[in-house]
Amino acid sequence: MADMSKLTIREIHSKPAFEKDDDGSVADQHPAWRPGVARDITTGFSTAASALTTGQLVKDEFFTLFEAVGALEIMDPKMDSGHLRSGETLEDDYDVLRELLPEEVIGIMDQLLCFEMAWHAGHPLSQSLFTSLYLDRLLWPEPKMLEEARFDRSKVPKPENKMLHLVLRAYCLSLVKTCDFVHQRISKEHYYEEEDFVSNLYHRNLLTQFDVVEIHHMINEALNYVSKLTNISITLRDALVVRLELRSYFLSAVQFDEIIDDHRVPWWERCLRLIPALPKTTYLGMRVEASFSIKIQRRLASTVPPRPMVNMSFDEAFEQLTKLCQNGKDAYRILDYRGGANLMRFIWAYQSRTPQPSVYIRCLMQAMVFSEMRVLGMMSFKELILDNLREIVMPADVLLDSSNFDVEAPQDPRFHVAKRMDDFMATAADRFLDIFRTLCMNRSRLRRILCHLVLEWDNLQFDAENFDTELRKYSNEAPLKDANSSEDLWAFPLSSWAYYHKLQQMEWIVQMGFELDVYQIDELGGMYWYLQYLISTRIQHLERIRTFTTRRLTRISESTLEEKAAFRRSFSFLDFAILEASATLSFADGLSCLFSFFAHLRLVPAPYHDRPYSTPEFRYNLRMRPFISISLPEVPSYQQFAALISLRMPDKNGTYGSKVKPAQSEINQQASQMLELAEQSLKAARREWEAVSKANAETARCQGCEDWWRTSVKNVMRACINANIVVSTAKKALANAGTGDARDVLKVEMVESAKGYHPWWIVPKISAK
Amino acid sequence: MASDFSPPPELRYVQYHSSKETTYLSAIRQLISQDLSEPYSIYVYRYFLYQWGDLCFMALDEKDNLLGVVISKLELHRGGPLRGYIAMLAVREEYRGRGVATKLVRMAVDVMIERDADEIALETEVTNTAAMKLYERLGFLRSKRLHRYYLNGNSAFRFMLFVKESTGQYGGEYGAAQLPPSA
Repeated sequence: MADMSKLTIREIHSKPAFEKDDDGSVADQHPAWRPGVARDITTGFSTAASALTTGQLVKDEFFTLFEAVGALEIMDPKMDSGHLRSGETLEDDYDVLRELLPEEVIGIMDQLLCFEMAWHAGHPLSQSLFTSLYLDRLLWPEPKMLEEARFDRSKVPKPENKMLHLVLRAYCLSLVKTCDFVHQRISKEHYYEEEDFVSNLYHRNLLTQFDVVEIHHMINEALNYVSKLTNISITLRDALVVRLELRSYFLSAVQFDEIIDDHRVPWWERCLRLIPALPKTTYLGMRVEASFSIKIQRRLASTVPPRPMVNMSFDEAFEQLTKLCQNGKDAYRILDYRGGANLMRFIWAYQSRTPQPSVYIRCLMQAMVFSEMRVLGMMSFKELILDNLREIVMPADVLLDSSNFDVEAPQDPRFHVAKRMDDFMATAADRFLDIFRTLCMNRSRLRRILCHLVLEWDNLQFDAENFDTELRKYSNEAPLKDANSSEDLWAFPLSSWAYYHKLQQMEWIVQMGFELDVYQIDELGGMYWYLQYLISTRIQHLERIRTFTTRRLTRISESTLEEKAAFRRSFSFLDFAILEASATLSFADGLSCLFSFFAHLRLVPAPYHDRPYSTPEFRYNLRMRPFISISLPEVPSYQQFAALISLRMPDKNGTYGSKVKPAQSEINQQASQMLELAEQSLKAARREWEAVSKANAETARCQGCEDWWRTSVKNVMRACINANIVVSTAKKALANAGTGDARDVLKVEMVESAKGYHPWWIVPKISAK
Repeated sequence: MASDFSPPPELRYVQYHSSKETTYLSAIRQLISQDLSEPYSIYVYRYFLYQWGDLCFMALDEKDNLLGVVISKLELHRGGPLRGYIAMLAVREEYRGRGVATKLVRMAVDVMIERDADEIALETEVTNTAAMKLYERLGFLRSKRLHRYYLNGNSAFRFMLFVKESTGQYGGEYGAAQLPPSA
C-alpha cells in the first residue's frame, strides 16, 4: 500500500514500449473534471485503502495500459524529474551574461546546430535545443516584443559585450525563427508524433508573432559588426560570418508561406554553397558545456521522467544539414508536372533515397503535392484525376471531355456525363490523394498504410463498376464478344483504372516487406512467388486495357491530331508498364525458384524443423492477412500455394514428407530442375531490365527524377546480374557434388535488404567450398 | 542454440499469483528494469500481474532467486480476435542461452492457448537477434516494422503467431480503415 501514496499520473508524452497500434492515439475518455469545493479526503482514503490487499489494483474501465505506463513514482530519481540528489541545486549557476570569446561563440553555435539537427531527426526539444540556457533566457518569460527577447532582459540595453548581445543573440533568434517555420510546416501535414517528430513546444513560443524581416535585420546588423572586427583573426571572423550567413539563408529557405513555386530554391542552393565551410572551421570553436543544462527540463515538462541530452556529433549534424538542404532543393523538381504516372514515379524515386528524406522534407513535399486545394500549386485535384484517367484508360474519351463540365442544360447528355464523372471523382479524390500522401510517410508506415489503403481501393473498384455501367449509354460503347462464350465484354474504364492502382499497391506492400526485412528467410521463395502472381495479374489487366483502347481507336473514323497524341500517350504508358512489369515478374519468378532451390537443399539457415505452435498453413494465413479481404485477385488457397511453389521442404528428418528419405541423387536432381527454372527466368529478367533501362525519360515517366530512377534501375540490374552469377555458381557446384550433399560444396550467406544492391531484390551470397 | 543446452536441474518454473507479490515483485522489477532506459512505475507491473497473474511465469533457482520472468496479457483486440500479448521477458545474464526464456514463453503461450487465444503478439527491437530467433523458432512471424518505436529511437518488429485456423477471418488489423491522421 505504501506505494500508492507515491503515485501520480503523468501526461502521456512518453512512448510506452507496449502494443501501441496503428492509430497510436489515446482517446481521452475520462469524464470532464468539474470545479467544485475542495475537501480533505485523507481519512476516508486511508480507511478505504486499508481494505485492500497488497498488489490489488483498483481501476475503472478507462484506466488502460497507457495510463499505467504514464504513471510515475515521485522521489524515484529515474522517474521524478523534480527530484534533487543530495547536494544538487535546482538552478544552474551558469552566467549567461558573461563575456564570450569569439571562439566560444563559434563553439556554442555549432553545438546548437547539433541539437537543431537532433530535433529534425525526431528528438524532443527538451532533450536538444531547449537545453541551452541562452535560448531559455531569450524565450522565457515569453517576450511580448522582439526587443524583450534578450539575454539580459533589462530595459536598458548595454552597449558592450556585442559578441553576446549582438552576434549570439542574432544567431539564436534566427535559429528559433527557423524552428518556428519548420514546426509550422510539419504541423500542417501528415506525420506520426514521436515516431517522426516531437511537436511539443513546452509552452514556449518560437517567435511566431515576430516578422521574419526583423530577424533578418538583426542578422545583418551582426554581420556588419563581425565583418568590421579587426581585433580577431580573419579565419575566426570568416567562421562567424559563414555561420551567420547560413542562418540567414536557411531561414529564407524554410520560410513558411502558401506560395507553391520554386522561388525558394536559390536559398537552398546558397545554403549548399556555404555548408562546406562549416567543418573546416569548427575546430576553432571552444565548447561551452556549462551553457547547456538538463535541469531546464524540470521547468519544461515536470510530468515526464528526466531524459538525457541527445548527443549528435558535429559530423553527423553536418551530414544531416547537407542532406536536408540537398533534399530541400531537389524537392522542388516535383513541380514540373508531366502526368500522374510521372508524379507517382517522382515521389517513389525521391522517397526511396537512403536515408529517406527527413520529416520536414517529407512534409514539404506533401504541401507541394496538395495544399490550398491545388495540386503542385497549379491544378485542381479533378484535373489530376482526369489526366490520369486519360493517360491510363481513357485517352480522348468523350466521357472526359473538358467541355462536358461547362454544359448547363439538363437535357444535354453531356450534362449527365459531367455530373456522373464529378460524382465519381468525388468518390475517388481522397483515395487517389492518399496514394501520393502515403508515399511521403516513413517507410514502415508506408507499408502499413498501404495495407489499409488497398482495401479502400477494392471498394472504389466496386463503386466504379456502377459508374461505368451508367456511363456506357453516353459513350456509345459497343462491347467485344468473348471468343469462347460469346458473352459481351465491356471496357469498364473507371473500374479498370481503380483495379490498376489497387494491383500496384498490392505489389508495393509485398516489395516493402522485402525492404523492411519483414519476411524470414524461409518465406522469401513464397513471397517472391506471390509477387509474380500479383504482377502477372496486372500484366493481364494492362493487356485488357490495351485491347479496349485499341478497339476504341479503330472506331474513331478520322482522328484529330489531338486525339492521335492522346492515344499515343496512353499506348506509350501501357506498353512501358507492361515491359516494366514483365521485367519485375521475371526477376521475382527467378528468385522464387532460387530460394526454393536453396530450401530444397537446406542451403539457407532457415528453421527446417517443426515449429511447435505453428504450421506452414497458419503462417501463410498470417502473411496473406492484408490481402484476404480483397475481392480480386483472390488470395490462392494454401493448398494451391504450396503445390505451386514446390514447397517440398525437407522436414525434421530430412525425408521430404515421405516415409523414407529419398536418395541424395534424387534430391539433387529435383534441385537442378528448380535451378534450371531459376536460370531461365533470371536470364529473361536481365534482358527485360536492360530494355527498361533504355527507355527515354518521357516513356519511362521519370521526367524530373531521371537520375534517381536510372540509378535505381541500374541497381536492380546489378542485383539481377548477381542473381545470375549465383545460379551459375550453384550449377557448377551441384555438378561437382554429383550424388553427394550440396552443403558439402556450397555455402550460402544471407544479405540484409539494405546491404544488397537493391532493397526489393534479396540475393544471397554464394561461394563454392 | 539455446535448445541445445538442457536447463540446469535446479531451476524451477513457477506461475505467478498475487499472493506472491511481496516475495517476488521487487525482484521482477529489478530484473526487467535492467534492460530499460526508463523504469516502469509499479502500476505497470500491477496492471499486468493483478489482471493476468496466471500468464506470468518465473524461473527460480533452488534458493528461490529470480532468474527469469515473462509477463503477458490476454484480451480482445479491438473487438476482434482474442489476442495474447507478451509484454516483458527477461533472463539474468549469466543464465541466458540455456533455453530459460524459451521455456518461460512456451509456458505463457500454453496458458493463452488453453484460454482460447486466437493469436499472440509481441514486439522486439530490430537489433535483438536472440529474441527474434527465439520467437521465430516457436513459429512467430514478423508482421510489421514499427519505426522508432522505443524511447531510444530504435525500431521494432511486431511478431505474430496465429494459433487457430479461423484467425484469418477477422480481416485482422487491416479491417478498419487506418489512414494517416488528419493534421
